[in-house]
Amino acid sequence: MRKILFDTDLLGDDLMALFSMARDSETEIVGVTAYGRRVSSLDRCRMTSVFLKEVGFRGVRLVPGAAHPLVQEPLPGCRYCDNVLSALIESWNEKDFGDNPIDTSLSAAEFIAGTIRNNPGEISLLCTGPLTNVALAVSLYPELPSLVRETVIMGGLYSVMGNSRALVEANMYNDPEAAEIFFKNFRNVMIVPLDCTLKVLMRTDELTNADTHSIRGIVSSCCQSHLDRGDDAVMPMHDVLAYLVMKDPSLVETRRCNVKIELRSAESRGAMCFDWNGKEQIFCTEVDTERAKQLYRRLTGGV
Amino acid sequence: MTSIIIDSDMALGCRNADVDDAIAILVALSEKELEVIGISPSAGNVPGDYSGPNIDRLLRIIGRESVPHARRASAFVSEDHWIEEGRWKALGLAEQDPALLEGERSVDFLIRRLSEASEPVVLVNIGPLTNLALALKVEPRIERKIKALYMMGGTWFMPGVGGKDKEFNILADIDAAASVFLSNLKIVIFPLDVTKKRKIYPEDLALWKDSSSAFSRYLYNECTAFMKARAKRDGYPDPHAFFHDVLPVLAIDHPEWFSLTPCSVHIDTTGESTRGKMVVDTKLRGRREHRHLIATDVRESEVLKYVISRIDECYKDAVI
Repeated sequence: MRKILFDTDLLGDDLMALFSMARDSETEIVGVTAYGRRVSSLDRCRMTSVFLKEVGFRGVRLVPGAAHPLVQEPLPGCRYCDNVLSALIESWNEKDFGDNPIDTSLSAAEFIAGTIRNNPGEISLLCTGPLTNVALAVSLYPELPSLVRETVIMGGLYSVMGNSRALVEANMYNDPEAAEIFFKNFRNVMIVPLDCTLKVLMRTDELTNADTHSIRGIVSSCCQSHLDRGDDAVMPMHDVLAYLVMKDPSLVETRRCNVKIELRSAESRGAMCFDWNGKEQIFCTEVDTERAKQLYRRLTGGV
Repeated sequence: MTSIIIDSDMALGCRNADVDDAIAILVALSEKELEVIGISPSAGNVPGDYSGPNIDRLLRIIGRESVPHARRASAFVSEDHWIEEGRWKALGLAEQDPALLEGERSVDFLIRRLSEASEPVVLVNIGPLTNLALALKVEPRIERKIKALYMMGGTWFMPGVGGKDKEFNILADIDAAASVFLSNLKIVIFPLDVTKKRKIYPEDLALWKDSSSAFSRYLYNECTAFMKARAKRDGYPDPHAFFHDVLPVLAIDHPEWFSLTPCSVHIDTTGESTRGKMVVDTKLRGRREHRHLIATDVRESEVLKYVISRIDECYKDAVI
């Protein structure tokens, strides 16, 4: 049984990652910590509580966290994604969050630190949003990296166009300082970048009966937003892939490197900069797209 | 007929220095549809005091000294100074004879030749962008006399200087390059991604080695000497070179050999790790249109065959 602590900004693909985790009998979700932007982390947790109930899952502890980046002003984020979230929140109109309780007695950073410290060597840390909560946690408790079982993040890029700036991926862009603190402290991080996630795409005609009403809504809205922007009607499964890679690292080809996050550049703050002679982190360079999608289907019951 | 001006950090003439600027100039002068209306020296592969005399020397050897050319390059705009301490020192050059530097500065030459031109000119830049950046500041009106800038420089994904994601011509004078990319010029970029597609080995130059032309044999010797020196300098076992600089010259008359992608490019000047990186963006992100084109592929075998045979044919009368 893998004990996953999931730190996330709870956008559409994050929810799909959560969906596959919740359906996975080999995974125990020990907690979900949230990062918020225009839609607050508390609202994201509420929405997620209901989402989990709808996909048939109970008992997940949700902890709201950082509301803005460590240093810079908060960025608005993808308005298409936020619109999807807002629409989901409105459509449910659900007020009962008891099945998946929202814990506001402590912050996400404290929860992350406490959970890892109380379960040394057992926690798999999966991060698919800006790394603010984890950066705060490791700043308070520098021993955390030595206590986690493994760390996988979705973020960064090497040889594809960025989704925030040409050189910059959104999670790094939203809090570059947090990302730099993260990479300074954590080692052997499996980095699942845009280079891989942009290859694992979901179309609406690939949805199956196993996909719930809200999963269908997420995929349809995301595909539509891409279409509106003149791109193909597909949804990249960014954060889902990060989870799938944690489950089965053989889905990807990797290369060792050291990573620094550019903090000064006016145009490219948040760019992931590599030293390919370094060995500190693990960067995914290629993905077996078909096998990744099969694994998603197998976990979610849509074979 | 297209009028072109070539701005080059021409190194042929300095022992063991890079050869591809010379190859590019020779190809340009042999093209029937190109009229070279000027060549200006820049600092880069060699210090600025050497590229001007090198250009003059090559033109005399091939009997083309009537091609207008400047003598003196300007110092880099940027204050990075990594080339002076590294590459230039390693060349071990003797002090330049001041008599060889009598003549016009590249910046003044570019402004004069462009201002005199009756029709817009294609500028081919195969060294650092120092002269052009300065000329555009001194006389902004020349911008509209430049039909397009075809340049060798930058890299998208191909490792460059020191195995990192940066390229020599940009890194040599980062602020000059950044300034040129902020201008309104239409720029066609030939980055390492295409120029390094094909390594050139001594065997590839057999036609020159065995040629009846003394000039071809001379070029063969200079090319192989550079290949060996470069292999020793950078520590790899198979001596080879790249003909980076011929691509922007050839693309003017042979566009069918190249694949070009519209993009918007800027040079990062403010980053700690990203300073000197050429940032290529193929997404519009609110821009109305892309002003730049980047070469993403080249028919490298045709280019190589053409370059080698063309130079062998055209310079049989050169006196070396």
